[in-house]
Amino acid sequence: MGGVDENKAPSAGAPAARSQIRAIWRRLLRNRMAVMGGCVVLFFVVVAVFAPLIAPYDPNKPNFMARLKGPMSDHWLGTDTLGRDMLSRIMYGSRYSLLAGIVSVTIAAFVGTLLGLLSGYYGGWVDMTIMRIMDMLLAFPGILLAIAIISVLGRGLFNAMVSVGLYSVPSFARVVRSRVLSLREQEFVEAARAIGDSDGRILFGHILPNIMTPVIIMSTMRLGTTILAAASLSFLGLGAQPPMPEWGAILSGGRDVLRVAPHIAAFPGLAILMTVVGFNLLGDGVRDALDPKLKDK
Amino acid sequence: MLRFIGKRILWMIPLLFGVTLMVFLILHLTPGDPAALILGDAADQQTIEMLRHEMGLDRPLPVQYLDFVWKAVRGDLGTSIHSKRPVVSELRSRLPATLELACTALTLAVMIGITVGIVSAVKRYSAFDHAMMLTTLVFASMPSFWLGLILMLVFSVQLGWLPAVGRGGFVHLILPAVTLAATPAALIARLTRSSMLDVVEEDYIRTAHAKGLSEEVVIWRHALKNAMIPIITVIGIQFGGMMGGSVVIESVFAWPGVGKLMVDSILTKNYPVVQGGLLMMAVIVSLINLAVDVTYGLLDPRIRYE
Repeated sequence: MGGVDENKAPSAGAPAARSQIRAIWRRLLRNRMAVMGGCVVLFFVVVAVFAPLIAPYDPNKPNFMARLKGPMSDHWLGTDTLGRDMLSRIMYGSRYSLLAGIVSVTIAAFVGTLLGLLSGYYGGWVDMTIMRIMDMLLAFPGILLAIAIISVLGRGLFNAMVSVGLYSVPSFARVVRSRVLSLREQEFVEAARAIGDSDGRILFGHILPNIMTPVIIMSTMRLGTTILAAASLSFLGLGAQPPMPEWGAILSGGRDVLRVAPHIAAFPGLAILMTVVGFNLLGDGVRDALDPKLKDK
Repeated sequence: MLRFIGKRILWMIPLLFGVTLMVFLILHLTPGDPAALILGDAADQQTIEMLRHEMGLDRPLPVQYLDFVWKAVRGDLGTSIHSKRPVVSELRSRLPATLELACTALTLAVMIGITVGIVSAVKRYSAFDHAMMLTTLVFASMPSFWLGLILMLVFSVQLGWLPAVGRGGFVHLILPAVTLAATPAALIARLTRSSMLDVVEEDYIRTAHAKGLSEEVVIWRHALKNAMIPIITVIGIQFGGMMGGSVVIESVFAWPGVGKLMVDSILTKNYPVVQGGLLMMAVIVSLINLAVDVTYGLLDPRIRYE
């Protein structure tokens, strides 16, 4: 992965940076699929932010007179086993599911970038130790590592976010390390070293701005995956706990009544699917806009 | 080549040590005393202390770790808190179900993924290509547990064609295997397409065309062999991912595998089983990764010399 601003000293100047951002933005807007993905994401973000204003009912208020109702005029997406309005629960659920994705990716990007920077810059035993730990983490495939971490931290949505974040760390660390390895031999890094800049300044002042492109690309592309993983944990009963209307948890509540009320499992799943498709399309678009060489791969 | 394989096998030793350390720490970092958990709330402090001593929990942590590794090497992963059976026996009775599910799903995913990927690449920008790319995007973004429930609703509840839960004959395997295969098949299809597109632009493919070879021969004999290198890596990663993904799918379909056992064990705080299950899964995945690396080295000589 290479970015448009790579291999340049970070002192390119504000006007140049602004015109670069405009060019990236134009490329992103020209990509119809990315715009579509962005609109879907924006829709769910708006729903999440304004849920208290637009949700027709209290998402946790039971109504035993209206249990397991299918979609109807009073309840557009029906009601659940306790008579709670599904539309309101899904609207509020977007808050938890989007938050789960964003927090997890932030943890992964922060820890992974830091470890990748240290590993690539210092090399030697630091690199060896960090990368071998990453290899060990990768021995626990997919959601299994998140489950292992949950078994230590305990159940709950926040712990699910942390565990999903930590399981994504190796991917970030590896990508950042490989970029740092090529950057540390560049002239602007050698020049910074020659004028006596400290390691901290070189790492965070010179190298970090130049690896932000792959980090942004990975972050956008991983958002969908982390939302899915957090929903999976909630579905298994390890993430969000009742009555929290997180999408995976709502869906899990629909399993036992699949025969009589399939809408309880169907709608939250559809919401997850749409959000993840949105993030994946947007992620592909961001990647193509920031790094046109990768387009169509 | 032998040197490459030897180095890769040697690396397994520290890797497995690290994996055992991580799994060991899970039980010891978990809040609460394992002995108190086993005995329950009614136990007095003296009984808890006696069990702690019996389990060796009063010894220094490094000694406990070495003891854990030594016992694990001999096939002793402790005792299940609830069933009081050896953890190894519990895992052994569940492993065939998980492997059956994962292997069937992998076969499905590889067959569908590679076929769709090749056809999409050959018919680049056609209606089929666009439809397949959209379909694979949807399947790659779909929550597998949701797909499982939808398939269950249609094929078991509505049509009554297939059993909804449990393990039995081949018919029981269809829904969970298709569900587990869906996302990997989509990812393999996308990668096969992109890998094939990379390869067909190479000079030797142009040469093959120029020699007058038929499209089939060029695609199957020349392009696919080289396009397979990244695909094999992804297949390996996907198989590992399936072992992890089986945790979710086994819970959806009440499939009596290791994954369901682990989720049930976390929910009931049966930590020795969680620990044993994690260790077993990690060892299996590490062995799969080893096999993938060796295959990778065999297919592409450049990798051996890196």
